[in-house]
Amino acid sequence: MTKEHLTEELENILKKTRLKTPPESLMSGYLSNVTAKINIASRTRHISHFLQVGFVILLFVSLGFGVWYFAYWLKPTVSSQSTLVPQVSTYKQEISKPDSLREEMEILSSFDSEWWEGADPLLQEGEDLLEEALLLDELELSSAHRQTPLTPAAR
Amino acid sequence: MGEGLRSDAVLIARARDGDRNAFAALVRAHQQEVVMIAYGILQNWELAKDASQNAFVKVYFGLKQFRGDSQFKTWLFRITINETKDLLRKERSRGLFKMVQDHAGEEGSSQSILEMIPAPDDSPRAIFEMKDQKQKLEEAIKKLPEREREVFLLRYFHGLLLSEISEILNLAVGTVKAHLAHGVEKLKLVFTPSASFHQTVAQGRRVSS
Repeated sequence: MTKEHLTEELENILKKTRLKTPPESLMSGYLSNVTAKINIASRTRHISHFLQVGFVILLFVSLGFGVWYFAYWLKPTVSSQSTLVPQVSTYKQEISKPDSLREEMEILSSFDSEWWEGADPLLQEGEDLLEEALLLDELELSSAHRQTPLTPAAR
Repeated sequence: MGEGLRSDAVLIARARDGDRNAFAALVRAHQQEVVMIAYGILQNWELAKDASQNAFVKVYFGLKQFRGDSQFKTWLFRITINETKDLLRKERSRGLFKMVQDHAGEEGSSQSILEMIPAPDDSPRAIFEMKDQKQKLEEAIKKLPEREREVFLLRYFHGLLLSEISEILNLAVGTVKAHLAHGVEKLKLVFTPSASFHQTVAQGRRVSS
């Protein structure tokens, strides 16, 4: 489609009209506004660039930490069946070592004494509570005996 | 290569090297037309100014990527149209655009996109008739679908070639031709004598009833 395809009337109107030009008041200070916007945008771009770099560094640090954690902290051990067994507890490894009978007895006795030391106050407390409960039961039973009306048969 | 294009190329080269004065000269050379393009879409001077300034900011930061495959003017117009449409979308989503337009309408002819070219030998009657015709043309253009309106304005009011319009709107030349043909056909219908006759009759009926 070229301009020649227009009707005469439409062509005449198009010749006698044009797009409105912006008012002068609008265009005053146009360039200074553009410059100000450029300055703001360049500052923002610097900040966002800095943030982007910071984010990338943070990402790499966390990735590095993750790799270090899985590679060194949670050392995977290969079992005889070629399955990965994480070496989480060193305690398990210690007790699985074959100890001598004497050593085992020492461990057991120390565990026994520790257990009793820890359990003593609890047992004492339990006994007190039991005594208290028995006393209450006794009191309740005796009062119940007194309040129960006698049946005619009993009379 | 025209004088304008050559001077643009020189200014772009200097602006790329960080010469702010060269960039200022580029802005001054194109600011009016860029604002007019934005106004054709937004029909609000303040928003058009804002959108066109944003376009220049984008141009400033994109100058290093401008390879010169297309004309600077074409590239600038494309950025302007994209920025203008972005702004229009934002304003519409904020619900402000309609409010601004309504307000502009109250003030008078702020929403009008066309103006008459005054001729010294025109009689008052001719001027009156022309005003009427201009009004009719403007209404018809505003009723065109977005693409057809854009293509029509770029072709007949900014005087761009079809290839340039296709670059600006990122459309195939054939598509641009089709949009233009549809737009022109619709406008022709408005300005055919029979259409004018029917319109006059319709107006007469409305007045008498």
